[in-house]
Amino acid sequence: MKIDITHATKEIGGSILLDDVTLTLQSGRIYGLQGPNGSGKTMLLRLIAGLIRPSSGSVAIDGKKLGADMDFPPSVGLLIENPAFLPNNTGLKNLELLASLKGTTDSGQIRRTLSRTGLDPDDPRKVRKYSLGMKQRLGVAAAIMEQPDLILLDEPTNALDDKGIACICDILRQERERGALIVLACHDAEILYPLSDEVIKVCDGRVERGQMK
Amino acid sequence: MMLRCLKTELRKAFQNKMFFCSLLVGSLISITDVAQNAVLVRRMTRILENSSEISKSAEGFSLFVRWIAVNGVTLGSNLFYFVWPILAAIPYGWSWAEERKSGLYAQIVSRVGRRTYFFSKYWAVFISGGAAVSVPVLANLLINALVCPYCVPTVLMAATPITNGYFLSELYYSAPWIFGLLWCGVDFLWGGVAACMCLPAGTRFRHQVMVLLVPFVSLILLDAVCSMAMSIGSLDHLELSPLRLALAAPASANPGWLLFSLLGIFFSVTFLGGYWEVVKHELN
Repeated sequence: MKIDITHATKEIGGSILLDDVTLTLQSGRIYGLQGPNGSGKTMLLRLIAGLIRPSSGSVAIDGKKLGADMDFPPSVGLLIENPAFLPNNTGLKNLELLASLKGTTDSGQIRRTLSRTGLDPDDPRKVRKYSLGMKQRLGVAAAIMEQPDLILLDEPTNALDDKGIACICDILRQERERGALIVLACHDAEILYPLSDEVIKVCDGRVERGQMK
Repeated sequence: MMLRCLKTELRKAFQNKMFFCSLLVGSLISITDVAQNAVLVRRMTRILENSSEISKSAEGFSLFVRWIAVNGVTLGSNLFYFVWPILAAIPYGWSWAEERKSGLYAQIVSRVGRRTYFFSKYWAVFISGGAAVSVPVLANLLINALVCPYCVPTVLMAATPITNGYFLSELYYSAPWIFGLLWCGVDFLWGGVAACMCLPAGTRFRHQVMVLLVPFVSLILLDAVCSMAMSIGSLDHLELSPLRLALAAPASANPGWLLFSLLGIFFSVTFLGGYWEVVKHELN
């Protein structure tokens, strides 16, 4: 998979949230987005996910333009902003409902994904009883359970303890080995730099390519 | 993909507490109506015990005169046909606003696309809203059948409010059970379109309660406008208010062409408005 963002600008209500962004992203790599709050990291993730369309410029995935040739990337897993689930269902039931939309993931795969993120697939508790960290793990599980080619994660380590952070980092490395393209927004440089193959700095809606491994 | 998404949406619509809450409230109102009928039937039976005209007098409190969709006088009937837009919206009308706010929308559309999401959401909201209105009406008919004496209504009965020009009026006097079942279907359609009014409103209001009140408030305002229109024009013989058109026997006639034209308009407005808000309009 190859993502080409060409001179993409996003303007909402007179404010420029993304300013002339040009990037090329390749599969099998982890790209880290770093920048202060409100710099445009989440907006850039939403742009790549197809949730918003650029005011000018384009986003193309393997040569096909988002918004023109297709609405969304063909295989994407995302965790953008807060992990969102049906609060009165268990974690397993939530993932089963999401997986049933595409019908490409069986129950065994969902259970294995939950175990990988450190959650018990047989936990009878409803999601509303989960701690913030558990919800975050479930959000990551939802993003990776269908083994997507593109994984977009916004602050996936929020509310996680050290063990949780190590677990998520291991999962992301395994997904990279599988060949997935991962874009990760994280304000914590200590997590972002060791994990990323390339760090992209975002400031006032503009991007600057940074450290490359 | 569409069928799978619709199945998932229907499962979410029918397996949530709000759907059962709405059914419970609707059924309680419906049972209030039955209780009032039971008291009336008991009182009338005592009065008429020694009368030689029992069969004729019994028509006035027979099943198809006392049914909640026809009588329009009991507390249950008045209350149900006033709050039905809220009952329709409660089961799943809130879901689009809630999913947009929580971010679940992004999880779903990234898997199925915006159009599939909208079509599935629309039909799930429609079906759940329709069920929430039509099930208590049907239940009322069936439970009333245990309480009220049954007789085929006759045109000469003073108590029947359905007259010439009303939708399916001939059927009411010839096959009332079929009329009753078909009217439950009409109420299903009204419940469906009322619930779907929440979809275009879902992007405009932040609070779910506001979204749930949109069908009710809109229909109340429309009712006021229709009342004024009926009083000044030559339309006083037609019932124009959608709020009252859910009743099988409103004060003025409800011919089929009017009923289905209004249902068509409501369907088109909610569908196109919802499509614009969910599919075309960008959510930032």
